[in-house]
Amino acid sequence: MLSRLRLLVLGLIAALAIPAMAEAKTFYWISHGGPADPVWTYFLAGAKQWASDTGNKVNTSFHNGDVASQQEAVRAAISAKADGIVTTSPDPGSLVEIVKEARAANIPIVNFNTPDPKASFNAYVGGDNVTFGKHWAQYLVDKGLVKKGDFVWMPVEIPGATYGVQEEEGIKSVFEPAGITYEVTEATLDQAEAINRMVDYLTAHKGKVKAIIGLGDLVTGSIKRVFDQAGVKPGEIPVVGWGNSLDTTQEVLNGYVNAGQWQDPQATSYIALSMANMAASGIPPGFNVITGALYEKDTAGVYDKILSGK
Amino acid sequence: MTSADTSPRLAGSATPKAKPDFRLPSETGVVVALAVLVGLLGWLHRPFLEPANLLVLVEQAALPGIAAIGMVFVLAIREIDLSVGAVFHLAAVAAAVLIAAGTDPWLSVLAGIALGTCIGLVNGLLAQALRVPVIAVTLGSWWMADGLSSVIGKGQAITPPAGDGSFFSTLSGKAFGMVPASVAIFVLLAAALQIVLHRTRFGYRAQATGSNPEAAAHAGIATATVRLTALALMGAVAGLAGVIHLGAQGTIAPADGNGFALFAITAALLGGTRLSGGHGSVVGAAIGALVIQVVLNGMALLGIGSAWASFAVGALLVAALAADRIGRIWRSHRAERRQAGKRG
Repeated sequence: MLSRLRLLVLGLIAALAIPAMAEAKTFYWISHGGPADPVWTYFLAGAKQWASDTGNKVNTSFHNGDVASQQEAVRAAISAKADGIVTTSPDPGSLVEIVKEARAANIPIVNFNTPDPKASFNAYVGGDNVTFGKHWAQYLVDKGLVKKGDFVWMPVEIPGATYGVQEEEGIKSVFEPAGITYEVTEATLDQAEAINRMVDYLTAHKGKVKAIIGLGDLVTGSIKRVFDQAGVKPGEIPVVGWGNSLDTTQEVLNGYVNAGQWQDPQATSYIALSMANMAASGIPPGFNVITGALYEKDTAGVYDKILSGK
Repeated sequence: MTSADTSPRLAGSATPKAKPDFRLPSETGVVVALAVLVGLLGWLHRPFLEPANLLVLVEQAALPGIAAIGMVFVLAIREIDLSVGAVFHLAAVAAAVLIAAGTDPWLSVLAGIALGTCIGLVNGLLAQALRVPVIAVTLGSWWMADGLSSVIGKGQAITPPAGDGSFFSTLSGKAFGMVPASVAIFVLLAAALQIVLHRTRFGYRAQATGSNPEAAAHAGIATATVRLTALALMGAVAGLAGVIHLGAQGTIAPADGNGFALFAITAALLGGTRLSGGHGSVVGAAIGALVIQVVLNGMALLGIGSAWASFAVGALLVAALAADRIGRIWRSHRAERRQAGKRG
């Protein structure tokens, strides 16, 4: 009697589990980043959370900027008949042919983190530097922090790099009609040198600079040290810009930076996988999702907590 | 300048009056270079001469400048220490971690300096034991210290709590309301170490060891001890610069101290210290640090890219090396002329 009951229970469990197992899909999350890069740990966390929440399987891989290796990973996912692929673009145009192959195999393929319009992805999820630049400039104008005739200083790590150029494009679309002038200056990727160069510039142009837009994470995250060395009090010159570092969340909390741009890495992965899943279920994503949040002092604590791993 | 009289002396003639041996100080070149650069940049870009800018410039030169004045002793013994920047960083990281763990900030500072001294000492002991040049040993210790800093700091900036604030307020404060503490320490240390190099037994022995190690050893100088002391001093000075940085900035970030070795060597050579050892000038190295910072500051103000700034610092180093070589050839020729004159 007892063994029959056991068999019945086991049969019931199996009857419930088999359809659920059959419904679980397999997705591939492929990144050009590196596992040691702090920002990519947040992207990865978003993918893992999505797998845990949906019960689907997500195979993840990092390729450390190796284009050939990433192309190979996408092809392997196509060969394995993945239910969906989400991938970053290691280099603009580098995945054009592979995306065609995925689409030909009816495998949804979603681009995340950095857009690659040349490839025919089903959708894009992530930041848009032009939009970010526009938002930063608009923030300064809307808050009355800059007006016609004012001068805004925009330090960037590498002048001419795509992100800075795109951000400047967005900023220009707001500042030019408003009669606000600006200058982009080089800070360099070495933080100590960046701070020195920024201090030099600010000391020589202190009276002229009415606001600062940090076009990169390193420059915005160096504002406190620059202000302290140049003798500028927190809040004396409004600052807005990238805010994906603990330095910047602290600067926002302490009044050195008015607003920081959070890239939403976890949400980016989560939404990209959701869109791939939706496409796998036959609902075509006919739109892109632009992620990102501009945080101020009242919400900076949330991002500070995430970044400090508390 | 002197010119030897090479005309043959007539028999029975009176001994010619010895001309005074006038020699320009070894710092002359760097002082002239500094004056020319300041004048030129002030002319090209007026804000360069603003007191606020000049003060910032001196403040930026202070910490690598402290490393440079330590490097003078290492160059004087005919060696090069590449680990300066990494020791600077590790000392600051160690002090920051200790402060964060609740240790008294001033004790933590001493621990940071002691750590720097120990690394310098270990560099010296390894160089002695392995009989390899210090440059090779410090190439290794540079990587090791850099790696340790990354492990301890987890690749992130460390910002210890201020505690009672006396340490941070002292080092981020200004003497006489305008001179940053780091600048005051830089000037006082330069003056003190100039005296050590030129007015103490250790200083003379360091220069003698670098000038001719065999002769110095024959003369009874414990050259091994002198070399160890010079390297320990370098480590201590690098550690001191690191903890000053921590106190002044309140934080130590992963890239802090990068490029200090090149800066320190260039500044010392610009200031008249010889790469071939045997002679150094602490004051010259301090002025050399200012020259480099003037170039970097001026180029940043003129909107010239950092790549050209790196080029300019590299060119300064090459120029200093060339000047050192030309100076040696000139001195050797002059000595030969003198010898010939005496023989005649």
